[in-house]
Amino acid sequence: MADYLWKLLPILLVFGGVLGIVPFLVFLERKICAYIQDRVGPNRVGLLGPDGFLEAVVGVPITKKRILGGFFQPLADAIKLITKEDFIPSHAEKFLFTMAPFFALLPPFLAFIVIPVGPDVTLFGQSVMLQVADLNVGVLWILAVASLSAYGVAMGGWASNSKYSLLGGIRATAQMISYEVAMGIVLLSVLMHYDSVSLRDMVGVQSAGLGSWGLWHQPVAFILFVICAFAENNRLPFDLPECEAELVGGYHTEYNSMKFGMFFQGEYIAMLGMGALTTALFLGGWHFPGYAWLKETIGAWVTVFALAAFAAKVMAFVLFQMWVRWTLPRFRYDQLMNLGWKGMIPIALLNLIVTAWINLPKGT
Amino acid sequence: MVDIVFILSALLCLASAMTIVTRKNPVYAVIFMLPFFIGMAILFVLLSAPFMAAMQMMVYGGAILVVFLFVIMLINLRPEELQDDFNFTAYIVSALAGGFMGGLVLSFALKGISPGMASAFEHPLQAGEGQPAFGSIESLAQPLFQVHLVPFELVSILIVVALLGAVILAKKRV
Repeated sequence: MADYLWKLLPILLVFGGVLGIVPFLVFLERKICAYIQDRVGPNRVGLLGPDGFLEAVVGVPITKKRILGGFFQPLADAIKLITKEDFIPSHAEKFLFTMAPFFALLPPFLAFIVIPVGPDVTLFGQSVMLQVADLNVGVLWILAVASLSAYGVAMGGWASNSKYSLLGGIRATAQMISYEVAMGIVLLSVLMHYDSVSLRDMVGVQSAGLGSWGLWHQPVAFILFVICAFAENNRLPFDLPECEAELVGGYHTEYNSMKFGMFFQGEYIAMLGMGALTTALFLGGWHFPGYAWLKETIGAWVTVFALAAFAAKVMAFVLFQMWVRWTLPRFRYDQLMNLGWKGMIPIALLNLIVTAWINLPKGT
Repeated sequence: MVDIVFILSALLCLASAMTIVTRKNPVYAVIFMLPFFIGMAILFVLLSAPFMAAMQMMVYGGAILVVFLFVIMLINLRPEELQDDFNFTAYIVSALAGGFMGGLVLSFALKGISPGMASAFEHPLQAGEGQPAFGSIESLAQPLFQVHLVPFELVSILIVVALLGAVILAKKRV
């Protein structure tokens, strides 16, 4: 029984961390967008001062100056989304319309199961693995789960029974399939390099030092993987399923209240998931330069720093995704398909052959 | 524990398979193939074949099903275009098949199935010394790429030929 209780620790750590950080990612995205477009961004809903949360509770103004202005905007948004009327258009397919947001939210969560967020730690004489489950199919699990994330978008697009939604859904399915092929081939070459499918083993290899990070050994795979990650998450420059200039909102045009909120949350969790996967595959996971030295100096407390290093790398990747979103224009659909099938897949195949050639002596 | 998981996933498979054949709307039929494939994947895991389970989800649940969905959504049949003829034979056949499968499940449940089915995630079945574990990727790769290399490559050529044939047939201007 105690074993199962200890299993709860990584589960709470990973899922609590993910759920807790998502609202602030929304806030961060809006602030970064504002900064890039030379605007102010959300600066009203704060803790104290006019429009502040405490002010609203007390009812009388406490200070004139806004404190933490804008920082509580995600909380206000969440309250708005939850309390709004949950409206289903009369022409929609009710069952699939309701199911679609769940399919948008669940797969990104499931991907976190196999990601090791920190080194093994001994707590009260019990060795705890900071990974929810070390499945022996490892990274294949992530591919299997990522392939499910197309359903939320496709179902939502079709069930809304609206032209814009359907076009968004169809675009999303074609795009996700195309880039999944490239991603699969890229992952094959990464698997060959590490000679394992377990993400735990991969991070173990990379924890030998800065020079052993996957980034230096598989640079082509790293670049291709990052491009695929953008396409899989439907983020700009690949956000054709929801491009607001042509399709209103794409697959979630007809959604409102918390159903829309779940699509929105799913997107940010998928961003975090891709960041975590990139970190584990290419950026050394929880390892950081000076890890061995710090471990000798402060002992088991190094785990805290390892967790912080992992979180910092994931956040850096998420910030990179936001930066790209507000900087680059959108692809045209035929350009997207050409890039996927005529650009990414041939390069990925070539990379696979070269990796196989290099790693040939290892296998025999 | 294994028995309960087996019965639940088998029931999931059966229920979703029944739903697939009884739906009038093809989109619903395709969507309900997803729980069917998930149930199949769980059965593969129970049979100590986690790699097959992952492949089931990636190839069938991911790629093939999404292509089905893509095509059916593109055609987008209106409800009035869907014929509403009550097919009595289909119901009888599916009821018979369901009863047959249900009987099988029941007989296994009564007999107990645990011995052969260790959860592969917890305890992979161990082979002899120096041999890869049953159901692991290595144990699958060795016969494919060492023992039966030529037939395996011939099959892949066959698949490429079929693929090219489909492209030629579908494309009007070549």
